Amino acid sequence: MLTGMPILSLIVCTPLIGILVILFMPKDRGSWMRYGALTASLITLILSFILFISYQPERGGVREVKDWLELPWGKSTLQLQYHLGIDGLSLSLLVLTALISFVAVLASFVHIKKRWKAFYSLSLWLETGFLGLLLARDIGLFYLFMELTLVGLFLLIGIWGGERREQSAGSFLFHHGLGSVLLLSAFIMLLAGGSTGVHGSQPAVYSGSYDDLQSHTAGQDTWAAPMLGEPAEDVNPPSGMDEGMKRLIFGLFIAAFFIRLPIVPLHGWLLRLYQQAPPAIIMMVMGGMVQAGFYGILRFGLLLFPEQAADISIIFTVFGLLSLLYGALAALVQDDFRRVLAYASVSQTGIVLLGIAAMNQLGLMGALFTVISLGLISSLLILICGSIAERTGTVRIKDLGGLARLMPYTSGILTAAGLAAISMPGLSGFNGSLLVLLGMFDMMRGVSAVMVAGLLLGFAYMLRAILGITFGPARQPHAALNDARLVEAIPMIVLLAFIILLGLYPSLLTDMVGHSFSNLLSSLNTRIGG
Amino acid sequence: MPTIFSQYAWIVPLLPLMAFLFVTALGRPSDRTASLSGGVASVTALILSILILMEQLAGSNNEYSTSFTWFKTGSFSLTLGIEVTPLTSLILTVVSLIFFLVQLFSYSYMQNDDRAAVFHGYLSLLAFAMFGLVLSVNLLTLFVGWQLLGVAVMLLTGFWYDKEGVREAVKKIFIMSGIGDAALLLALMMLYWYMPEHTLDFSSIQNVFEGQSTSIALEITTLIAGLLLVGAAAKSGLFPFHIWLRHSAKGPLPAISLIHTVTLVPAGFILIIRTFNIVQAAPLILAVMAWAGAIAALIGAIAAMVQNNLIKLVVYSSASQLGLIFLAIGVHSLEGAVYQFIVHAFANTALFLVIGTLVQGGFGYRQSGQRSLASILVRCVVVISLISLSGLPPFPGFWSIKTILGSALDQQLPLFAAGLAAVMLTTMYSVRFFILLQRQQRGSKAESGANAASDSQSGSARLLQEVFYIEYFFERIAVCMKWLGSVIQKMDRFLFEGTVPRLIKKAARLGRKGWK
Repeated sequence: MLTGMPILSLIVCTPLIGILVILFMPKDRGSWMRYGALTASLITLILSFILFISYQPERGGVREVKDWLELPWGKSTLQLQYHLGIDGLSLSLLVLTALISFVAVLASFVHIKKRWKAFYSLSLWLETGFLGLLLARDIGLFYLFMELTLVGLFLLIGIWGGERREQSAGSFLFHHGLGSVLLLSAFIMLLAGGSTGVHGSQPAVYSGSYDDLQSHTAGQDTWAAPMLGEPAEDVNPPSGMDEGMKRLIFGLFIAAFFIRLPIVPLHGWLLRLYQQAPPAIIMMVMGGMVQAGFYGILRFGLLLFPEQAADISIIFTVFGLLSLLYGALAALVQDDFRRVLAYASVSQTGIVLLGIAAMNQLGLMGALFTVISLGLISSLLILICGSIAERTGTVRIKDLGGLARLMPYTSGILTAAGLAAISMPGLSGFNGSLLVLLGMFDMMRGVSAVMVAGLLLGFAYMLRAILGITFGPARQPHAALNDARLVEAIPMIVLLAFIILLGLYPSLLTDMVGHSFSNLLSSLNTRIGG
Repeated sequence: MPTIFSQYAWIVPLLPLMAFLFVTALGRPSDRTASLSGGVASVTALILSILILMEQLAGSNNEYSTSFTWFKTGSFSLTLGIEVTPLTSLILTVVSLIFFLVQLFSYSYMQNDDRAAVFHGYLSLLAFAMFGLVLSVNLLTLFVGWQLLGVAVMLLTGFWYDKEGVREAVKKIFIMSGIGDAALLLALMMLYWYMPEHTLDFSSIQNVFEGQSTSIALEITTLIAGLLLVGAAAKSGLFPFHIWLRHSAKGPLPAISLIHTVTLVPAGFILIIRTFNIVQAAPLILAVMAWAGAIAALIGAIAAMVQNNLIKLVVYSSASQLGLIFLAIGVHSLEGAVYQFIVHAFANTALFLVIGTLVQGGFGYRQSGQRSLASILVRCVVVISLISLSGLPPFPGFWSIKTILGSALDQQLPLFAAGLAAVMLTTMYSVRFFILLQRQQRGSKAESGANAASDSQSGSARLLQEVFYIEYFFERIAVCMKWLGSVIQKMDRFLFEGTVPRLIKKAARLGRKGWK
């Protein structure tokens, strides 16, 4: 089915084509643009599903390589490629991002009321960025896609945010600009350092290809990109970089991606985003940016620098626990439902980080599962929150109440989503938490006990918020509320369906990813010496 | 004899699940069909479980188990499955019988509620969770059922969500049962790593822990057993965690009845009896369990003595019975425990339903008020149940209590004395129940006033609730957590929304001025 078609490029380009079409639409036809954007994201989603179904883990992924540009850099040249590739890790996150983008476009039908052309163009732009960075196998390309998302999100927040949108966008730009600087410096050091081993007669070529870099940082005994077709002579002496350099680069990467995940001392932008941005944008962030952070930590942190990662796994653990408990405790006292959700997301990212810290198959799989279910669940929650806010005009828990009587359908879905967020079995959150717990238990017993306590706190804050909204006598001013309209109900049902599907049938994901994960892990283990 | 019906035991939990999904999909408007589907599911489940029980009792060695790999990563796999043994099929039959009866009862009880269909859906979810828990082949399956049970109980207790105090009640119950979940989860993880080959199924657990020469150190075993006990106690409302019991009387009566007789409260019992080998391997925990059971039996009985509210009286009576069950397990009397569970399930369900019939005015008894044949029959049921609970001869309670107390006497005299005292108190609150029932039924005219009065408890009852300041202790923890949360909130405001960003902005402005 896929032979001969550059499906990866198609996936990345479809939203761009959508942008072109939307730009040529007449300005006042809002519904045309809506359906245009919807079609573009739907096609992307379908393509990624096709890729998911036809992907055979044993045979490795698809690759699409083209030389992109060569820049002179001193005496030598900087060679960057247009190189897209896929493995189980990228693929599962790719499907998630495509799905959430599609649902977010649907959700925007209700909540976006001005400047449709710009909004839908930027949304698709953002989708391209998120999808592209998951597929990029060249650090130049990766960085390009990362910056696309930064620009897109900054404009989206700044234009369509709430009253204090400028501040929110500024905070976002501040954090992510810092992240980008760190990332860029890490990349440059990696490029430069990765090729210092070349002392041949011919001028050195600084290649941005991920596989090349990996062989540089990791030594020659590892999986030196069998499909790249490059002979082994390019592989340089075992360790192209000294230890301090590796530590530094690794530290920069981790800091840059911690901002995107976000981990506790760096979570300010997420709080403001939740407060100000419309639901569709928050959904795209939860379905794209958080995944990008997780993906970056794995792809550029753990896989390029496994020894360094193993050395500081205790730091991962500390930050993971910090985020988990900090987020949970803060969520316990918020008046504003949106802030509860923001802190709940922070708390969940703590679980993700703990899964990474476990550095074993159970933990990493759990982290991936948690990232995916975090994307689904927090999107669903913020979507419902948006619907409630639109009707009642408030998200203060104290002012809400009794919605179960007035909006039974929405309340039911809210309850289900809340249960998923506190990892009830049968819903996707449970599998991730369970795997992370089991993985963590192998490494550090005490930590997993603390993590269980953190999950228990989750019971408390989620229950407080949801019961506060749905239970109790109905408030007078809200007496004439309508339940969700069809256009709101469809995205809710789609998200909930995926939450239940992953909850009941986790093998769907684990079988797909398991193979590539065990590849990654065996390389990790051989290098850590575990 | 081949296992014909046991192979299809997996259908039993699926039936109520289908009913639940069907009802949920149909939504609120379809009252009759929705309720009917719940009924059909429970009848079928009952018939199937009776057939399975008969098959299990007919021949020896008919045990059957099946499981499938839920998911696996690398070399680790997690499986779910069911297991049919004489014990599980017996419990299953008791549970499904009571489910069927209560569902039948709730048809007319909930007749006038416009959300009756939703209620039946929730009942089916509860049944699904409980059947899964009873039949589970390994600890993971049990854990799934265990958590779903918490959800179903939350939904049922919060069914009348706009009533006052329901929100707080649901929150307390759910968090208490969450403590149970957390403890069981920790126990599960420890078992997963310490069991050879990472298996969690009960037969392997039995093999590993049965002999004295276990490969697992005693401290670890004690820790696992302790966690199991804490889990069971928190879920079931055993002694230090009994505080949620008094909040549980907020839901519809059929739901309260099911929660206290066959689902949430006995869930702890089922957990312990399935993992009994672990507990047995840790003598310390076994002793603690016996004492916790005895104390719970006494506290429950005393609390039942001083209640004015009939429902709460039976709730505490259930707690007391559960204490006896745990006492029985603690003194190695498993038969006594199972026997007592069955006696308690039937007798207390009968009492709950009678309250619904005579006092709350189901079936029009309250309006007529005269002594019809049916009303006399209902009274006979009450008397029989009460006598049986009190452990007096011709009824089954006598045999179960005799077994338990006999084993307790063999072990320790104080345990026997405590058990005996609890049984005597049971007799006393039984008499009180009967008197209260008469009085409240007669005073049906002033029902609305009396109801409010009976809800306010006597001073001694309030004193009891504060036993050892348990509730106070939990509230302190909650306050501490809230305080920490507000500190964090302030800090975040300071860092991200208040002073620090403003300072940065000011610095930037100064910098710009300097530039110019």
